[in-house]
Amino acid sequence: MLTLIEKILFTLTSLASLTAAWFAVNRLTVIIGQGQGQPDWDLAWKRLGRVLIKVGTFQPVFRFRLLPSLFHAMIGWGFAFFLLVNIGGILQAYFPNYEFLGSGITGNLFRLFGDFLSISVLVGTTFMLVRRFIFKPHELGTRDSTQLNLKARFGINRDSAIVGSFILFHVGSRFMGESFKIALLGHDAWQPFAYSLASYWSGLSEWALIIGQHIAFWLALGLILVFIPYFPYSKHIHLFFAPLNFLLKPVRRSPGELSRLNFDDETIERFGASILKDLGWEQLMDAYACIMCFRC
Amino acid sequence: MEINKRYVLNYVGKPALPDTELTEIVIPDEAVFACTTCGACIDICPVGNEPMRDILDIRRSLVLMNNNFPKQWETAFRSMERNTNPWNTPPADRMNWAEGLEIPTIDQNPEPEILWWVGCAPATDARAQKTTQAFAKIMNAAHVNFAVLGVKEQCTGDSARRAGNEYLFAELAITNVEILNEVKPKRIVTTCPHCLNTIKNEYPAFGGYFQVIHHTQMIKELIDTGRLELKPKDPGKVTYHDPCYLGRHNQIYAEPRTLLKKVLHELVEMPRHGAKSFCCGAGGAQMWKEEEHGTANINRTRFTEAKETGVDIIAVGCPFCMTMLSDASKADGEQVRVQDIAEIISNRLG
Repeated sequence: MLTLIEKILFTLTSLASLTAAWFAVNRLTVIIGQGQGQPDWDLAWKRLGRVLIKVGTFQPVFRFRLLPSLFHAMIGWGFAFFLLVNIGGILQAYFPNYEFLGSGITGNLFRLFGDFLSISVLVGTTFMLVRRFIFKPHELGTRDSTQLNLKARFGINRDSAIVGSFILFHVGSRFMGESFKIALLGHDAWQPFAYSLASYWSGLSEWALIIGQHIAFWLALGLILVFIPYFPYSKHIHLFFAPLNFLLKPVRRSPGELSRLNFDDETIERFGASILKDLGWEQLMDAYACIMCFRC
Repeated sequence: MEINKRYVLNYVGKPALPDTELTEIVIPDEAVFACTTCGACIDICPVGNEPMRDILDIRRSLVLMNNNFPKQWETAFRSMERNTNPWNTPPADRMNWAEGLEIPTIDQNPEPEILWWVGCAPATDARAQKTTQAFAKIMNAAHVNFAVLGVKEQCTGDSARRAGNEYLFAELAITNVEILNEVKPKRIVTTCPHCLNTIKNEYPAFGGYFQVIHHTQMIKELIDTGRLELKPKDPGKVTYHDPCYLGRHNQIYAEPRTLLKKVLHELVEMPRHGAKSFCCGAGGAQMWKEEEHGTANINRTRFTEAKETGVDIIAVGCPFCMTMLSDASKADGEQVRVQDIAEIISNRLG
């Protein structure tokens, strides 16, 4: 679908985005690495199955705040599927006449899920933004007397606005792109929502629809490229660090089980934690898993 | 606290962590010393964070490195150092609660079926001693072959550890593990969730591996095996306050409730029960100092929630919870009784 110039531009932009992201990710792995101790990667393998189920069903989220948890799940499941959708979108953009996963039952189901989950993500994200910025429930904040970093009080909402907008525009653009494609190529029974939107484009010329497809591609995938390097600074990096937390948290006999300090080791100069470097690697990683929900 | 940590990490120019004190950039020392270690922050976090552990690590540094801790803890520390219990009761008086009762010590009964670790509060606090005496009545009614350590029992060190005084805790733990390893108990039953938690979950790091149960689990076992008979149910209404160190820390929720349902007509749950239980305010060594300034007293908040269920009795399973909720009840005119489950069961023995 993309022209040669677009392919070159997208490739270069992707490289730039990934390079910037690499620096950001490298920065945070160096930060976490400065914590005390080392993760036990064997634990991750042993826990993998259980954690996939726990994270896939959003079980820890559903324990509290049922309605927001439902909308969060709609966004989460949709976004997980969108990894495949974006890969498919890029491949289809680079290789003319290529239909990702084919036009048989697999491809049809893929487009069906993509269509429904697009709506699921858009509805879920809209709910979350309305909840945060219009209804402003007290549980999404904390008392004025609580010592919160000065940048955090505004920064948390700013981050939510950025990510919420990104999701709406990314998924919305991709959805629009599909509707332009349907308007060009004809009815697709496996994308009922996109097909409904395509009916509004019946008056547009073929060129207008093609241009619309290209703009939708650049908005959808371009936003991803802009967002990826921002991601490590956003609370939404919990997508990776929450599962890592569950996989790698040291084994404990009880939630509050404390470690024994070795007072006989004369090489230890400090006991307890007085600065960031005294914290364990898992305690530094907690900061990246934190979704700033104010439950605690 | 996690948010503050993240914002510091996000804005530090290079990936070299600053040497600024955590109490300046992450959490003030007032908040560090206010923590009751209830574990709710760990339980509620949907991404597996453990903020409580950061707080306790910071406490350790303040106490061990800076000698910075609430002045009132000095008394508790000194009592544990000199008399091996935070109540400053001389060790020789530790068995005073057992006067007139048949309580064999380990010297008198070296091979018991179960060792009863009484705990400092149940042994020395006047109100908690009633729980201890009730449990003793139950154990004897069921003809359990048990023994207590007697005057050899000393504080598990829970309060010292939670206060951040790890050195004092280590001294107590090492001695206790030596004593227990000599005794070689088949099982241990405790009348205090803090003791249960410490012996079961933290003594292994000191070479002490013991099977430990709570007194409510023991009582349920005795009933289930037919060793204990109960009178028919009392028509009263009861609510059960889940102690943090029994519930959230050790996942013991069912047995206390089963017992209450056997002896009382109606068990009413508070809105915040089970894993969502609200702390009484005494954990985390808060028992030994005044509460940090806040918008409401923890114990009175919890008591109000319990009273609003319309019950006659608030059942507890922890001597600290007993103290805190009893104090709140007294301040409210004592319209609702606070009783340990052992007392409730003991009153219904057949």
